[in-house]
Amino acid sequence: MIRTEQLKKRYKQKQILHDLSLDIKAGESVGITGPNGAGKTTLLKLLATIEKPTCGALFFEEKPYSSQIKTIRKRIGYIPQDISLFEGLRVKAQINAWRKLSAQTIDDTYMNEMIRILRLNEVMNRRSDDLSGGWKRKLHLCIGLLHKPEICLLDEPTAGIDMAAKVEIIDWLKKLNDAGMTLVYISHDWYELERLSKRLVLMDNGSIVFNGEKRELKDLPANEFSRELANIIHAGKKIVVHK
Amino acid sequence: MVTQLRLQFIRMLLSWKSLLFLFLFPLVIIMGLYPFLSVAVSGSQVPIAWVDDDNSEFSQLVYHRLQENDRLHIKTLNKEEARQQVQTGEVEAAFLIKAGFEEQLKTGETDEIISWIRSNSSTLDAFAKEKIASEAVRLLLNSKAAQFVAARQGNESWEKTYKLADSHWMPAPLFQMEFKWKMGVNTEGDAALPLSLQGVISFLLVYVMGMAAYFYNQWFKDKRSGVLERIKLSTGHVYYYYGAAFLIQLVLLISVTCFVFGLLVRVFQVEWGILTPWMLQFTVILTLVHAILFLMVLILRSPQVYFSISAGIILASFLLGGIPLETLDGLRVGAWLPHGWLFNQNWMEGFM
Repeated sequence: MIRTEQLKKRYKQKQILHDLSLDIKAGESVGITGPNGAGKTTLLKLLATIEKPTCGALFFEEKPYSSQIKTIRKRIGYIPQDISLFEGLRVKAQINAWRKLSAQTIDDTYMNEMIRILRLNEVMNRRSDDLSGGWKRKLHLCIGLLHKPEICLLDEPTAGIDMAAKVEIIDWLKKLNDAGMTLVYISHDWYELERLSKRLVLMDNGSIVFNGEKRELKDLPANEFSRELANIIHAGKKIVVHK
Repeated sequence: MVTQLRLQFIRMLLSWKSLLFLFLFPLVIIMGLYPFLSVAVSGSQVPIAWVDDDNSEFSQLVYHRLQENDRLHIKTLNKEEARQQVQTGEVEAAFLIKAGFEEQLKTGETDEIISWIRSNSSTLDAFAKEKIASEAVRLLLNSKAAQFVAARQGNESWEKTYKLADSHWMPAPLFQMEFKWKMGVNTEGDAALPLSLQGVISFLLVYVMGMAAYFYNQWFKDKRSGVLERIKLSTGHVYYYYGAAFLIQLVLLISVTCFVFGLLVRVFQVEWGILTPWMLQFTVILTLVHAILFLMVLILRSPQVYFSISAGIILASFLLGGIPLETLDGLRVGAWLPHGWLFNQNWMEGFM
């Protein structure tokens, strides 16, 4: 569904991505992880059409990105890591505002169902600034997916929230994936990676160092990155790193 | 666009504390300064030069009546002395009573009977102008009444009718008449706003410019939080967002302008006619600054850089007025504030 070829991205003098090639199939759930500064967010922004590559090519259903930006934006839902909501508005007004702003037709039944599953009804009349991190994150996700996208790009969707809210969100994302939505997400949380997808993409220094099923991780060569990875994806989860 | 306008309007209302401050501050300033400024304006004597080329009974009468007024200090000079003193600022303005003043008034003519000589710094002479005009109209109408009666009852009744008509005048007539401006000594229109009020207006202009810069902080928050990116993805572009934010903010700034000038009219009893050109200048400067700030928000990423440059622009407009230290001694602050730099009356004449 999405394919990148020899993707490069440079900001001023800094090379962020090096010859990055990736293939994401429809209905897949792909978890991207790696140390800070590995280029994960940049990759997601490129896939979401927010950034343009310095070099290389992006394909959506085998057609170049550049020829179908509008179509891609309609079919993709991008959830940035930072919670981006209008300041001061109540939850109801917030959802309404984004619904009206959207260039896409919003399916009210789908929207109401999403609100119900995320239990946003409970906080509908509260100001979004006053909500806890978990509720804010749920609202943030709900708004990003209002237009019922086919592909969902999530940048650390459960960052900074408590375990209960995290489990709730992960279960919901799992359901969406089971229903056919393609998920591409960045995470540093092993529980999330374990629960949401079989396929894992490990990035380091702007390149993909591993792209495959989690069980293949044990074949990773022993190096500094592997040790760092072991730290990232919480110790005690049977990550085998050869020494 | 309508959705964006509504949204931006609601967001503006949500920052009600800043809005309240935006409107309350000028109110506090104007109400707070009122006792001082009203004393300063009414307590000083306005030096006026009097050049009498007619030397008639009527011109003497006007002169004596002017002398009775506590707020005017009348100096009798010749034409050249008057011109020099206007240029040096020793007198606010000079009034030249032309030869034939009495004859013309008696025949009901008022065209070009008085010349009004003033400079760019003349501001308080409008009061004298009104006083002289009222006296001239008084003489004119008395003469007309006397002529009307004399035409029916004979010339001997002229004096009696004139005195009778004159006795019916109230001590402080408020009539105005058209003056012929004497060109050549930095003449200007009749924007006779006391310098102290010019200072207040200029200060409030700087304040509103600062507030305009402050209100754009919201845009940086939207940039930082990713709201802008999300709008771009949701709507396909951010033009309406920027357009709506620009318009709503401009309307807000114009509302503050109207509020400030409405207060000045109400509190200082200044005529709208005098304030209108100032209000126009205020609005034009504000719109320009607003547009510059808007461009900066579009270009700049860092709010720190934005606020530093904004402060620089506001300060520069303040300084470029030219702060002559010798003028800091009194109420002449108005001359070195932004309007003094951007908008002198000559410029306004061309503009209007």
